[in-house]
Amino acid sequence: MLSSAVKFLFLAFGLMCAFVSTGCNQPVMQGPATVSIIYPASGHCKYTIGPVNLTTLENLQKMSGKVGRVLHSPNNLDDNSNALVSGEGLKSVDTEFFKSGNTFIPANLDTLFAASLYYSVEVGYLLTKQIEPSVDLASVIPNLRDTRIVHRAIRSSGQTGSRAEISDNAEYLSIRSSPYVLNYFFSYPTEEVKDIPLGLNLGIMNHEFSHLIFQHLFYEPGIKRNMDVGSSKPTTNTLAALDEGLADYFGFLATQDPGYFLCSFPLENRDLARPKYFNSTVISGIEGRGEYFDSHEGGAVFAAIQYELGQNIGNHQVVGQSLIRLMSNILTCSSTSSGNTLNFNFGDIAKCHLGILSSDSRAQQAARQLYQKYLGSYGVGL
Amino acid sequence: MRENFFILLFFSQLLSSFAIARLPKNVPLLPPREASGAPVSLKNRTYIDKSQKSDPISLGFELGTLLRNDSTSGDLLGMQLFWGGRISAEFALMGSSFHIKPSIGYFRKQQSEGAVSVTQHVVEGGANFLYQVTQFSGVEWSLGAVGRLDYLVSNIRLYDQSEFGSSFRFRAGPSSGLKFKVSKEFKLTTDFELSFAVSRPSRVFGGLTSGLVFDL
Repeated sequence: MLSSAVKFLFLAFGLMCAFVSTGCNQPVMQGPATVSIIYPASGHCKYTIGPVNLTTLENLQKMSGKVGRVLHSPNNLDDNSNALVSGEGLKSVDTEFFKSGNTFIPANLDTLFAASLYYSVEVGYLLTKQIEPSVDLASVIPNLRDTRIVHRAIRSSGQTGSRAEISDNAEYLSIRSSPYVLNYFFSYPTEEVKDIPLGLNLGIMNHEFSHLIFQHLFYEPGIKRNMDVGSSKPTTNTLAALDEGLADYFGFLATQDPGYFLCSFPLENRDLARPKYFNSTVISGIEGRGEYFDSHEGGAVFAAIQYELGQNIGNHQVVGQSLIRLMSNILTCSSTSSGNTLNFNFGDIAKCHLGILSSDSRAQQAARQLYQKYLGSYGVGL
Repeated sequence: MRENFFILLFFSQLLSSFAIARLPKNVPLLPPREASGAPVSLKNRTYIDKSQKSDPISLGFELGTLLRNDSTSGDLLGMQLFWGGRISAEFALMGSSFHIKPSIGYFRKQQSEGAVSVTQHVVEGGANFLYQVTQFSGVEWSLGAVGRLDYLVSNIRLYDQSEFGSSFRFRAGPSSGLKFKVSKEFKLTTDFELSFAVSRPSRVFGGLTSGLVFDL
C-alpha cells in the first residue's frame, strides 16, 4: 500500500515537473522593445499610459542597455560607505511583463517604474543628441551603459543626527572611481506625493539627467584641466544655481510642459512659464550675504528666462543647443574664465551665452532683452 | 500556442480525474462481518453502504494567501502576498487513501504610489493530488502534489485611465493538507503548497489557505 502511495506521489509530481519543464526554453527578452509606461502626452500634466519604444534597451528583463541599467537595493545605500562605489547590494529590478501583440505590459508596479525610469534616461540621451548632434554622451561618457538608475532608493539625508530616509525626491550623483566617474540616478520612495511620483515624472528625471550632462561637459573637463575657482565673484553658488536652471529647462525640453514640476508638486513655484526675477533677495543668497542660499531659486529664474526666450523666437531647439554649448564654453569664455581660473556671476554667464547666440542675431537680441529685464543688477551692461 | 496546449492538457486531465472518481469501485464478494458468520441484517447492510461512502465527495471553501517570490519588494521574507480564496471539491481516487482535489481560486494584490496603481489579479484552476498519510482522532494529514494553471491580469491605473495586460502561467509542486473534524459533516482544513513556475527569472510560489470542508 505504501509503495503504491509513493509511486503515486512520484508519478504525480514527475508529471507536473515534466509539464512545467516544457516551458524552459523561453527566449530571453532582448531589446529594443515596445513597453507600456506612464509618460506625458501633450498638455499640462496630461500623463497617460501607453506604449513607447525603448530603442537603446538591450535586455528587457534586466532593464539595461546603452544608457544604463535599472537597479534596486533593499538596504540603505549610506549604511555601507563602499556600496555606491562597488555597487554592492544593487541588483536588477525583479521585472515581469505580459506581452500583448508587440507591446510588453508591466505586470506590477516595480516593473512599471523600472521601464519608466529607463525611458526617462533614454529620452535624456536621445534629446541631447538631437539638440546638439556633436554631443554623443555615449562617446563623452565611456561607461554610460554602467549608469546606475536606482529604483526606490533608500538613502539618508544629513550626515549626522536624525538621518531620516529620503522620500519624494530624485537625485543625480557622480562618484569618482578610477578610471571613470560613476553616474547614479536615484528615484526615492513616494510618501507624500499624491499625483505623479517623481520617478515617473519625465520632466523631473530629465532635470536630473541634465546634471549628468553638466557634470561631463563642464565639471569633468574643468577638473582635467586643473581649473581653479576664484573668490572675487560668487562663482560656486552661481554654478550651483546655473546647474539647476539648465536642469529645469532641460526637463521642459523633454516634456514640452513648462509646468512639469507641478505634476508632482502642485504648490511649488517652479513653473517655467511664470517669469521670475533676480531680485535683491535672490542675489543676496547667491552672493552669500543672505540668510540662506537655495540653488533652485536662482536656477528657476534662469530657466524661466530660457523658456521665455524659446517662446519669443518660436524655437526651443536653438535655445537648448545654445545651453548645451554654454555648459562647455563656460570653461573658455572670456567673461567667465581667465587663464586657469573661473570667476563669474550670472551677468558673466549671460555674456557667454550671448556670445554663443551671435550666429543667430534674432535670438541674441531677444536673449539680451530678457537678461536685461530679469537679471536685476547682473543684467546691467549687457 | 503553448498556452493553448497547457489549457487543453490541463482540462483533459481534470475531466479524466472526474471520470476515474466516478467509476464503480470493486465491492468485496462478502463483507467481513458476513464472512465471520455474523447474522445478515438490514442494519448491517445499511452500515456496509455507509462504509462504501466513507470517502465522500466533499466541498470546501478556503481563504488565505498566495505568495510569489519577488526580490525587489517582498511583503514577507522576499515574497509578495496575494489575498483571496479557493472553492474546491474532493474525490476519492484509487481507493480511500488517494484523493484528487480540483479547485478554482482568485487572489489579488494592489500596489500604488501617488496617482498610479497596479492591481494584479490571479484566477487559478487546478488540482491537488493527495495521499492521506495518517488519520487519527479526527485529524487527517495528506501529502501530495499540486498543479495549477493561472490566468494573470494586471491593471495599471492612472487617474481615470486604465491599461490591462494578461497572461497564463502553469506552476506545480508539492502540497500538504490538514483536516480537523469539527462535526459529522464539517471539517476545518488548512492547505499548504509550494509550487514553481518556469519563467525568467524562475518563480517560486507558496500557498497557505484555511477554511471549511463539507462532506456531501
